[in-house]
Amino acid sequence: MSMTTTRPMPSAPNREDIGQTWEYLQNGISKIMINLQEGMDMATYMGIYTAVHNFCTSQKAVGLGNSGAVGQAHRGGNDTPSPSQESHADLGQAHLLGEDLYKKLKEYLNNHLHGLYEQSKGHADEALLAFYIREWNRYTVAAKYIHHLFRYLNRHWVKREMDEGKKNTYDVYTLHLYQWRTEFFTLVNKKVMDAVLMLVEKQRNGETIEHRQIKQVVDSFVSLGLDEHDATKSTLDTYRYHFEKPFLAATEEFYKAESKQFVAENSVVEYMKKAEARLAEEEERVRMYLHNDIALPLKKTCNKALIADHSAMLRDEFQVLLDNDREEDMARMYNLLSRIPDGLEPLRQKFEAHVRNAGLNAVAKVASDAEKLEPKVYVEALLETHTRYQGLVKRAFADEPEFTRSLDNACREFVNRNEICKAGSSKSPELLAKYTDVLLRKSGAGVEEAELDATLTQIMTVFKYIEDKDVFQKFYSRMLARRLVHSNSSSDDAETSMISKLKEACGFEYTNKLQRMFQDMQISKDLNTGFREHTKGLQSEKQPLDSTYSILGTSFWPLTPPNTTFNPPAEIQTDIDRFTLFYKNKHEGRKLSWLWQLCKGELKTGYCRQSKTPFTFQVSVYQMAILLMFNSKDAHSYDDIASVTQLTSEVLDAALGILLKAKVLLMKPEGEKPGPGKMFHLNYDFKSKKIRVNLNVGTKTEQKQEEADTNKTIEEDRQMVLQSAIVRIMKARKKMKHNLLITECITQIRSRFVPKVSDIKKCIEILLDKEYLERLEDDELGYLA
Amino acid sequence: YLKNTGYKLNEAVDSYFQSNAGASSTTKDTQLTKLFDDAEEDPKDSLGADSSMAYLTSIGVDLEGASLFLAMELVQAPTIGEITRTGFVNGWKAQPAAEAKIESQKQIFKRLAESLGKDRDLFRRVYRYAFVVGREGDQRALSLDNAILYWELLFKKPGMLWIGDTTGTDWLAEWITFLRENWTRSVSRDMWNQTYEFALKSMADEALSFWSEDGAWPGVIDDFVAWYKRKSSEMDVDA
Repeated sequence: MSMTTTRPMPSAPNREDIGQTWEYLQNGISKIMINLQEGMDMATYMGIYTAVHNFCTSQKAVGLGNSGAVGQAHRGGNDTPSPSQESHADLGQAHLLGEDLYKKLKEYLNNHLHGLYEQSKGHADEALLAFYIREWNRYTVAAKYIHHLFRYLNRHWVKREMDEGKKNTYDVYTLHLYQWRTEFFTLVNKKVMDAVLMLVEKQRNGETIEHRQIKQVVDSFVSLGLDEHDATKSTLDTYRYHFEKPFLAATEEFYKAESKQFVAENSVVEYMKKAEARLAEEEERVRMYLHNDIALPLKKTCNKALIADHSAMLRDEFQVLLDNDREEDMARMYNLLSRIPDGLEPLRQKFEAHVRNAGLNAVAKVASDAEKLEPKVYVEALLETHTRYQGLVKRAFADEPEFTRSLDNACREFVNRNEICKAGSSKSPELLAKYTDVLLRKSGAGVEEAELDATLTQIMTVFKYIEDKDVFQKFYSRMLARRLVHSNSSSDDAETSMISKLKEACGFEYTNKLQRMFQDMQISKDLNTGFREHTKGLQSEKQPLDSTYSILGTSFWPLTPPNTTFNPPAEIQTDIDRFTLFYKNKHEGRKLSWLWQLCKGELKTGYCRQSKTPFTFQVSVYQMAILLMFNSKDAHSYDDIASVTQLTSEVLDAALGILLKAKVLLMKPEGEKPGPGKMFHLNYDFKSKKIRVNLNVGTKTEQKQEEADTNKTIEEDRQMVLQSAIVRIMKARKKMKHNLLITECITQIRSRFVPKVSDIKKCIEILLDKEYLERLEDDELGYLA
Repeated sequence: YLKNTGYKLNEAVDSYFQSNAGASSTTKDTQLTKLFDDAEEDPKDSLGADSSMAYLTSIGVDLEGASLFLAMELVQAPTIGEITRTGFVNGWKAQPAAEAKIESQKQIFKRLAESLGKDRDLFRRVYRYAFVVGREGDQRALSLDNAILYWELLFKKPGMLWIGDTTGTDWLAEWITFLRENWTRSVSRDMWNQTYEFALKSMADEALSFWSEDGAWPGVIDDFVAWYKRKSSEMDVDA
């Protein structure tokens, strides 16, 4: 403690005399209170401390009022009382004495504070703030000193009072705070707060302010939060009531007014920018000079004034932003509205509707000619919409799960119900499967492996939204079968990758048959190698045939036996017989049936006059049988051909039709269609630009037929699936309410297709009829084992 | 129910009489057996069509009304026009008031027939039995023509009328019109039984508000409701 000026302290007071003691103390306290910066010497400090101590321990003298006390009085100025005196202390008396001192101190503080109040009237606004802070600092520092000086009082008298549960008695420091609050703060806090708010408003309007001042005021308000019941604890009540409340009110008012005006003069987008900036500012404000406790309510207040109160306007703007792809602004809107409760739901609804419409429009654009619609164009239209809005969800809506769900809902809608699917939702999976087929089929343009895989992944994106997954499965497996049998799949890797993707999405059962088909092809390969070894071993004369056989498990392949009779040409028959024998040897008891309609081969020609190099014809086995007949004769009648090949007229006509169209054969007399009575001649003047001529081309009607067949089997399969699902459920439950059964059924089957309630009902009725189920009371169904 | 009434009731009745009223029931058995034998000149275990009809007429059965099915149910006839000895004996034994005489049986049968229109349990039993007895050969279902014929028999006096309680809608007529227009298949047991349940409900609630899309009604009834509602709304427009 440094000393600058030394004012002589009055000599130590008589320890028994309260008046004298207090006068002495007051002197010292005033010095601390008003002039602390001048410092205080150790002697004064010690003097005060001693005086307090002495006074509190002078109980004997006053209490007994005898000569002993007088004798002790002579020793006034002695600093430490002897232990014996203390040990005789009458606590009751000390109690009384302490109280006098405490009361005097309180009185003194009150006086001081009244003085301050009077002075404060001379200040306003920032000056008042400065005054408040200055006096607060001076006062609290002094309070700490005085607290120390009165420690003896604290330790004994105050402690006892508090132990006895007396209210309104505090330790000396707290007493200071308490008095400040009651005698000064209550009178000035409003004005101080006004000044604070004025400063804050200035800052909000862009001026620079001395924000340390506010920080100090906040601290002061917080310090005054005294718990009425337990002086050692502090609460934020005072701060909350006197600071937070007016602060929040002023904030709300400010932003209400500001936003109202701003909106009137600016666009919504500008407003969002403004609001965003303001919200950031307020957060910074809390960090800079406000108490952390206000962060949340302040945020709420701002959100309400800046966002919630304008949410209708913001939402109205959303459609405009969507229409114009204003991604950044949508992100801004998302951020703003995500701050208020239920702020986003209306956005999601608008978003969902918008995406759905976008999808429908995209489809409508390509759907102008539904008949000729390329699967690729259709799928790409679907994908484009999805990709675009998925990007938007990611970039503008923070990938929020609810928005993703809205996107999914919208996509499911427009994928399954659009202009193309008017007749039924099975068109989407059909086209998707066809597009996959196009991708996986060998084609002239080589596609990069990685690129192909990426496209397949996109296919899966659409697939995810397809409701009739069973339709996709049907078409896919048919086309896979065709790719495998005709070995024109672009790559095994791509095929496997696609199957595993499907498996991942729909489970083992869904892809089981596809995988088995794949395996069959592998086994067939080995089998053919074995067969070739075998025929070599036979050492038979020249081999006219280089044959390959595919053995396909009947239950896995979506193939039906040929719808015509057929008598294979002798050249093939021998080889077939040999293979049949070979296979029977290997697998006893298996039955082979020939799917002629899938067989094909190549024929080398040696008769054409025009060409030096012989042509090779790629033909179906039916065409082969017809053409081989011309090895022996240059012309055959229709009936000859029919009787030799045994083909039904329909199949025969189709096969001949293509040969005629390519001018491999010539028909006489010329006419529209091949038929009985016509003669067919081999055309020696056949011409073609290519050496290899593909004559094995399917006709439109065949494709149509196949589509129709596929759709029919889908219907049949669905009924089976439904019935077995019902039986499965009922077997497990034994008894079930009708509509619960229907719900459960839909849940179980939804991953494959979305069943119609009327279809389920029909199946229930069939099962009732077959006595798998029975009707019980009250719409309940029972399972009959 | 059907099985209950079909097998178990008989057994129950049998065992009841065997255990409790042994003596008297055996006498009645004998009497009934004799009565049964009297109905045919050359007694076998079942009565042929002519004898059955003759017997039925003798106890006052209207062969062209609901009481035919009542009688069939009573003696648990396997097909229309065939009465078995066991069915006959057990069926009549279950009517304690009836003596083993034609005259007494006629009386009892008359009482039963009179209660048919009011006693819904009895009617339901008879109605359901009509499906069993009315099938041709070992068919699982009734042909539509037969079903309509039986409905017409059952839903007229002394059977229960299928006519709305308040507005008097002739539901039977509507139902048959609907089926003639839209239904080509046969009538399964479920459809037969559910038609009766629907009949009961439709009479009590002619606005058909008991019906709901997610109810358990068979599809044909759903279709009927839709058809009827469309029809009546069209009529409203016309009017």
